Amino acid sequence: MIKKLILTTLTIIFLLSPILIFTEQNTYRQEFLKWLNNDSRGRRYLGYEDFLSGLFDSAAKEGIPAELLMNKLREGAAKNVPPQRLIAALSKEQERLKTARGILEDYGIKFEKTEDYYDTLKHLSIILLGGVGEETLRNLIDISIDTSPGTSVDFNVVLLACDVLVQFNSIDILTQDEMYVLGKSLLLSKLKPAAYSNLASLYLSARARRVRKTELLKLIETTLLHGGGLIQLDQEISERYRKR
Amino acid sequence: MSYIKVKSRFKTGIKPSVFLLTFLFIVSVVSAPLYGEVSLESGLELISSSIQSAPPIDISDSNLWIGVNWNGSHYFTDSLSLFADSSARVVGTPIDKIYEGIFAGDAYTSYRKEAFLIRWGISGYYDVIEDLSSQINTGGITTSAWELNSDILLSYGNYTFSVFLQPEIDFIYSSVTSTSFGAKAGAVVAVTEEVLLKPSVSIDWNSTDNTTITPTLVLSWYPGLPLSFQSKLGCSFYTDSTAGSDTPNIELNWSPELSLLFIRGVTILLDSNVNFKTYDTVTLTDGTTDTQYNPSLEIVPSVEFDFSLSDTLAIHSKLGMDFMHYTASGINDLSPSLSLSVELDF
Repeated sequence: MIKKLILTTLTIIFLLSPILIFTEQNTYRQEFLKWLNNDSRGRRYLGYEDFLSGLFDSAAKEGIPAELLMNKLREGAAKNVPPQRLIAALSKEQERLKTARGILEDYGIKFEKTEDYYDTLKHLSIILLGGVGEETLRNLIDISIDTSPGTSVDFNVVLLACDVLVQFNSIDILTQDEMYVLGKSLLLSKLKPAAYSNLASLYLSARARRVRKTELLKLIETTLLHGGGLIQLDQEISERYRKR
Repeated sequence: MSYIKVKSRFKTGIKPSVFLLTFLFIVSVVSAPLYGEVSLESGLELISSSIQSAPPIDISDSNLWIGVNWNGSHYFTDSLSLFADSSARVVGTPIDKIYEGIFAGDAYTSYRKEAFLIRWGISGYYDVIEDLSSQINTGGITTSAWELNSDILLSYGNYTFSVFLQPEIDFIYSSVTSTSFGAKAGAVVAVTEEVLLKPSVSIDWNSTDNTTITPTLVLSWYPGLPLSFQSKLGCSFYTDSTAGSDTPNIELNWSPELSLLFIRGVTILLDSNVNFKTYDTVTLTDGTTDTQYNPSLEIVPSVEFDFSLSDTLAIHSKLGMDFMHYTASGINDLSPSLSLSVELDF
């Protein structure tokens, strides 16, 4: 009975979330105007009030929490980012948050706490900013669904895999295909999700030793898909390094 | 696994073009069924040899080089794969008038099934040096060498533990021809999810009557941050009959290595090699070789910057030095070096 009550409450909260966000948005609009007029850093952007207000309004219509944009605005102002650049960055952030929101909605991923929802939106935005494309992200979630049919998607595992893709992409420029194959290999491997990021270190080590990118990615793919882990990859890479 | 390496040099009487064409032919035939990549690399290396006292600095060992590399792989099945690579490089040392050509190649095939890995490889090189600085022979002096090596790796393991055995055979043809047999056995233990400990021991028998036993311990740290660290500690015990002594010699080696990501596309590799030998040949400043043997300490630190400018263009740079100290005679040698190269992938 209690469980049913909780589920009903959560459903109502979820259904009412656009209204709640809109109400919250108005609060943030006031906060934003206050910050713009009274804060020494905010005053730098006074001439762009209309544009920034418009940005907050359109974000509200798209159901994007204003808090996230406001944080980004404060962050940029603290770094003394020129207004034009900050506006461009905010617009891009809005786009990414919109994409993130769409993904969460499409896959029916729900959160009990608002903070968790905001954190996940922000996390997804960072992943998109790190170069993982929306389609790649969706394909990886699909793999996660396929590997555990009938159960809910372990979305955190997909996020961890994507974090590693961002790390790889910060070492080398990876194509979306390469990211998809790598992400798929991670999700289908027997590695513990917490150990995914160790592979980025190993990749860096091999690249610094001038093992070729394509060869290395293929090696990671085949080793992981055959049940291998860090030990087996280290063995393969050390062997190549020894031979050269 | 199969590994083929072929290094070559231009021999008097045989045109360099014959070697190049033969090489390209072999590469073309082998590469046909494989997915391959070709790259062109060119660079220069500035070496200042043996600054024992004061300038003038001797940079006669500095060289320029150009080379072509090819590598390919093919997966016959999910478990069975073939990797191969080959390279051809021409090195010119203009001040010393020494020119060198090297052909090298390797191929290995591996079969992985669950916890088992079997890999067989063959590698080799052919190397020829044309020394035009000789005053005795106006046509120059040509020396050549080649080496062929084959090994097999048998490994069994899981996520936390792995054991391996790797026997190998090596044949070297140069001024001294030798055949050696070796075997390495060891384990890899995942102490944590990011730290690997790799104890191993290898034994090598050489046809020139040397036997070497080398226990080694390697620590690898992959912390998940954009850095990694390796530390290799080895100790070789061997008898060197050419030294005229049956006393076992000891060689201690420590090689730490740190890889870092500086910014996107720029990696830094800091490494060092520290080597201590109880017996070593002393080379005097006048170029003659002393018949006495001294304990020696060699330290070779270097820093490498690799810039991946795009998917097809990379710049490699390396700044290093080689410091040699003979403890008994007090002789010190210091050779700093700087190399720069550009690599173009096709």
